[in-house]
Amino acid sequence: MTNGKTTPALTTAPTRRGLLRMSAGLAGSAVLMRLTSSAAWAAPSGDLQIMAWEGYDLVPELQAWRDANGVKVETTSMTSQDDVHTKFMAGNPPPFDLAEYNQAYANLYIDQLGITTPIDPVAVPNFNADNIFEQFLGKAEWERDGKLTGVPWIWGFNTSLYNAEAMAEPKSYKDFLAPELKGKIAIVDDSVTMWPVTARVAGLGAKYPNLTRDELSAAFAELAKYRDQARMIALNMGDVATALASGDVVAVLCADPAVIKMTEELGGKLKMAVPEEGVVLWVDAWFVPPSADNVETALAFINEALSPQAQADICMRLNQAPVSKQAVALMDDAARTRIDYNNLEAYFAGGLPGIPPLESEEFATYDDWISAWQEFKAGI
Amino acid sequence: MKLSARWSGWTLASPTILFMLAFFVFPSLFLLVYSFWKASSFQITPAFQFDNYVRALTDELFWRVTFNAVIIGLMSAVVCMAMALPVGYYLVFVSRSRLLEQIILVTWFSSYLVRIFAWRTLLGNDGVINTVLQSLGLIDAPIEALLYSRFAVGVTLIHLYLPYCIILVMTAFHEIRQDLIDASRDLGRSQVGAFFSVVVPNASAGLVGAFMLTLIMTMGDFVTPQMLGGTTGQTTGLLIADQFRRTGNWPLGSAQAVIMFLLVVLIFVAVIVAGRTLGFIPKRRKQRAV
Repeated sequence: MTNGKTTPALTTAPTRRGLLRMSAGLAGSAVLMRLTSSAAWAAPSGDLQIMAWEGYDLVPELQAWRDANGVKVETTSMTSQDDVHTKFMAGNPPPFDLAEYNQAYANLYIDQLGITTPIDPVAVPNFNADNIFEQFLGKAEWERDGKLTGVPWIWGFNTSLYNAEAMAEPKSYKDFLAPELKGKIAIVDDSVTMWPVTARVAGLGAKYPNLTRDELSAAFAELAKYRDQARMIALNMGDVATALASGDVVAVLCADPAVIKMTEELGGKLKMAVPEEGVVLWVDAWFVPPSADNVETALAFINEALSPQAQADICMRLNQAPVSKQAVALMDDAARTRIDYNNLEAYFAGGLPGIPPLESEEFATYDDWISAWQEFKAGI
Repeated sequence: MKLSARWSGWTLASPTILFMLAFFVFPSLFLLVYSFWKASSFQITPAFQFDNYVRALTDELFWRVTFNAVIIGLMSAVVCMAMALPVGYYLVFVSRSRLLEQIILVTWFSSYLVRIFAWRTLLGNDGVINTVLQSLGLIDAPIEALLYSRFAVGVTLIHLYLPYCIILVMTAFHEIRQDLIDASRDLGRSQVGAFFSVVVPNASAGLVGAFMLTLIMTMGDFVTPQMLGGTTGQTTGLLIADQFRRTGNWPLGSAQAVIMFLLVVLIFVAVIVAGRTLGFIPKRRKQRAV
């Protein structure tokens, strides 16, 4: 039984690839099995096309699972969340079976663009209250009308990173405005991270993402002080890691702590600081786009990604945090103590940042923020 | 069966024509059509209105960034041409060295990004230039203005596009017969005089092409300014990309792209007019009916 839930496979038209792969008899059997029993999902197999952040496609962590099931994963790396929805806005969206969305984009993906499909929780048994922290269950970022639209699977936070040999630990973003740091800091061109920071440095953090247009102007006027202080607006994490390792800059205002490992691999040293204005949380979720044609394997992949061992392994590799409670005990000391897993409420107390409204008379819209960000980068 | 010269030409050109139709002409037409459409909240609807052009043309940011791109493009193209002309002349009319030509081509063997990172290594605080200057006692502290600055962008763009410019200039010079230069010299022109009165006018079409191609490539490059420009890396290309990627406003991005295209055409016309006024490009003579 599917308990009345419509499975993604039944709402998705079969594609040429799927038709070529399945014989008519097998297809008929699979549909019949799906209609009669949720436990009868076909075994994972075949090609799986996914779109994920570089390194987040679980290549080493799920190798045994892929080998056992004969699954071949083809990954298209994304360098920003924009890469994902841009592809699905095209008239002929690519046949991805699985992609990732940052929680900030939930409304856009689920309500506006409609590029997520309902996920049958029965096909993802690891997504249960015994395994998953409560912060990731039953939240609007991943559900609509009681149906799962995305499965949160990894989270973390962006914060200040600095070279302890070159400067004192920053206690606040304001510390980066010290005269001796002029021309020594970097800002990353990552709007999802930097927009909440923009509001916070202007004392408007609690209002984000709903700032009026006047407040938006005031916030970017404040952020301009940091741009004047900065030596570079880095293209991405790799870019900033290179600059930190070479000593061209000594700190980055707010970035993914994964940069620490990248910088260390390049011979640099870097530490993490938590400014009093707070860190910027993010949670990535897997979703199944309407163009998916190997839904069974996609859901099996998600399920494996939530297994405690895979969660522990990838979080240790990427310096991020698991959504699986059971994974914490499987991580090494460094990974386990980086975050206080007994006090996750404190991390999530401020809520997860979203993106500004697409349309609004009262508040600055997403377009307004993009324009302000472009002007910031152009030095206006 | 023997094809006429006209049909032979069409047959030989057809793969290129088909390719350009499929991947340039039709996409450009789509872009033009899109520029009149409407977008709201990531939803694009067909329409015929000029709002996107009005918005782009009245946007201070767009003009400031575009002006910046044009200045970067013009400066890079002028410097590239200034360096490519003597090298091209030497290789075509003096040395005729195939080895030197091959050396110029060698610079293309490494990838674009590798070359950008190489410049970072050269210009950084711990880079080769700062280290040498410090070890020679010429400076006490690294010159930070070398990297993440307009200087870094300019130097890198010239390095990236100079080989293209040299090859194009050489191609233009190859068309000129040595007899014409010799005749000019026999008639009393100096070497420089012969260059400007014979070489430049006869190679003008190719030289304008070299200049424009370098200008277009440097003007449209948005990776180098972003990676080496520090806090001055915003370009028109990025603005247009943002409309397609971040806001989902493809019609506005299309209008901005069309404006950029028209701007390049305008610059092209200005270069032709300037070249004719200065006498570098011969004026067309109307053919008289015999």
